[in-house]
Amino acid sequence: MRKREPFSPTSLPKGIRDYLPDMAVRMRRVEGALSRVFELWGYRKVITPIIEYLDVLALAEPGLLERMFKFEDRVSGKVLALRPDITAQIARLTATHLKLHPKPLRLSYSGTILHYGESSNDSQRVDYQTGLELIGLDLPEADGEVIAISIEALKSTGLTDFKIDVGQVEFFRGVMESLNLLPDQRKEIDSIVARKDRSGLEELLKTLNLNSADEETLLSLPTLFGGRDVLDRADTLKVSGKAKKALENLSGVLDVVESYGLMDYITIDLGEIRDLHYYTGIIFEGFAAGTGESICGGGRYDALLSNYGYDTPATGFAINVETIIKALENQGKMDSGATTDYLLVNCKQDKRDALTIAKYCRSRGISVARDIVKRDMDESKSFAESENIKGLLIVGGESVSNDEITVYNVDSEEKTVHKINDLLDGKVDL
Amino acid sequence: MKDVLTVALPKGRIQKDTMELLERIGISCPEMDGDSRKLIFNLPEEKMRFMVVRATDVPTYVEYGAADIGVVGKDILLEQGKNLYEPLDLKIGYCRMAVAEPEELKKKDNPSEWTHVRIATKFPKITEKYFSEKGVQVELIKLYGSIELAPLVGLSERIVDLVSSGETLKQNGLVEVEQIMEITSRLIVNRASLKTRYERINDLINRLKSEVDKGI
Repeated sequence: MRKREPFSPTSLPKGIRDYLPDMAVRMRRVEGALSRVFELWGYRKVITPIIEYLDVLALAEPGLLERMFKFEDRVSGKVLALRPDITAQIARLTATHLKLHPKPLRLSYSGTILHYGESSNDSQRVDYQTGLELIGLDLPEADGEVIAISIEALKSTGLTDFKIDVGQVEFFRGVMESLNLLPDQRKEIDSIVARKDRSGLEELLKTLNLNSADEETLLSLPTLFGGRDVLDRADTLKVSGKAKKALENLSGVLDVVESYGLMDYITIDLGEIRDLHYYTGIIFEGFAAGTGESICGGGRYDALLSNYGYDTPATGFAINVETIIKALENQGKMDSGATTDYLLVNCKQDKRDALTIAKYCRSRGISVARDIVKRDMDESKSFAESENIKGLLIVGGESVSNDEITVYNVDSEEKTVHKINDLLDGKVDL
Repeated sequence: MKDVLTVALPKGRIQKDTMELLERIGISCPEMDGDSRKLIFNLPEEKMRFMVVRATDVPTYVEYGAADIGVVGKDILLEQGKNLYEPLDLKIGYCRMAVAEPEELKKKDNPSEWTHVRIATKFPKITEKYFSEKGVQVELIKLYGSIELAPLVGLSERIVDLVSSGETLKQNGLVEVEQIMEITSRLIVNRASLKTRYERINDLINRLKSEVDKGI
């Protein structure tokens, strides 16, 4: 008999976590910076529910079915699911409530998504995502705008050394469709190209009997990444009309990004095949130096909304806030997460001076927490340090007179003494 | 630090073979040849550093970006199924993955009649996939070493393991019955590293590829 592991009454499910103040503050700051950029580009926030009908969410991407947390609605008997992705919800919301709204629609969102992890890594089942969708346009400028926003948004968080890697799924699809391969062979090439396994592709081609132009095209797929020269290299290949059109489209989108002056942030990869099948054109993914996983992802999904009864093109992307924080930490650019400026210690019998000072500070946007507990000054200092509070305001006390206040900086351990009245008259810089 | 390319190598023969290959394109690290117990070797003039880890850990270091590139056997890549690029077969560390069984059993055994087998192996995923594609039920016994022992003491009937010369099998009275695949070591690359430093990494891949294509 297998014994059941003893169950701890305070444990959390696998891959689920709490965010304590330092982390929660950072998440809010990063999310705030991203959302502000989205606003500056004219995007308006919507809020969608965490739970939906499984069938409705699965319309977007059947592949998400096995990654969703599912449970039953006791009333209707239908299966509910926690959202594993917000794009599908925006598609549903647009196709229902905003169908008659003039186009284009610029919508953004922030929220928690929940899903089982990848088979190789199930330790992350919750993500906090911020993203946007530009709905109703199929012009290259729309994709260019979305890519430009992703760059500006990432820059706004303080991240520097990153790239947006842009591809076009129709190029690969166009190449593959013209080859007349069996489904099994097609699947094998998909997985080889996704791994950029040049050697594996060479081996496989020996068994396929393709003409030399097609062989050349296939062999180039794992190497078609880098700067804008990738497009020139791809142009020399003999490919189908569909693939050619994809290259023209990609080139048009890059022209837009270039006009925004953001090409330094761009890499191109024509061998990138994203897992989600709902993409129908441009796809892109962000990568930061020093962080192994991708920091954002998006692309064009012109067929998604028609699953919900509204045939209109769309493009967008999402950023995982927590991954950005990891990337900022890796680049040494994440701040401490401190939010409280001062701990206010009162050494006098009368509380009125102390509370007047607190009120004054708060009215000036300086955050103050009262040290209500009676304790040694050293204990107050170490409390401030552990709570990530920048300084102490000490009203009264042994070495100063009754109408004086001491400002103590936790980091530098420097002290300055001021008249309380000077502080209240705005003569002291806090 | 950010200009330094970190390479994860598996301790042992693959490490040696990889360094020989790198030497042919002008990258050498003499410090590694000694009896040093260091785990990290810096090569500031090449803006590279090497870390020596267990073979099974190489993909993990690379997937998380703790190393930009690595070298590891195809057996381990297939078994772990990580999200990585593997742009080059270095054609080193050649061996094959095979099903083996005691000589006695082989005399009366017919692999095409297998319906249910009990297999001891270090590679449960590869083994399961191989047999399920043949429609054979497999009972897996995952072991971490000395796989050859399992059939001798009745833990399993057969084993799936790496075979290079076949000497270990022979000494333990085992023979190869089926070959599952040929294995060589691959150059693997972290996805973000390839994107953010494609010029440098691509150049390294191309230089290595032309050496590998020349043969030894």
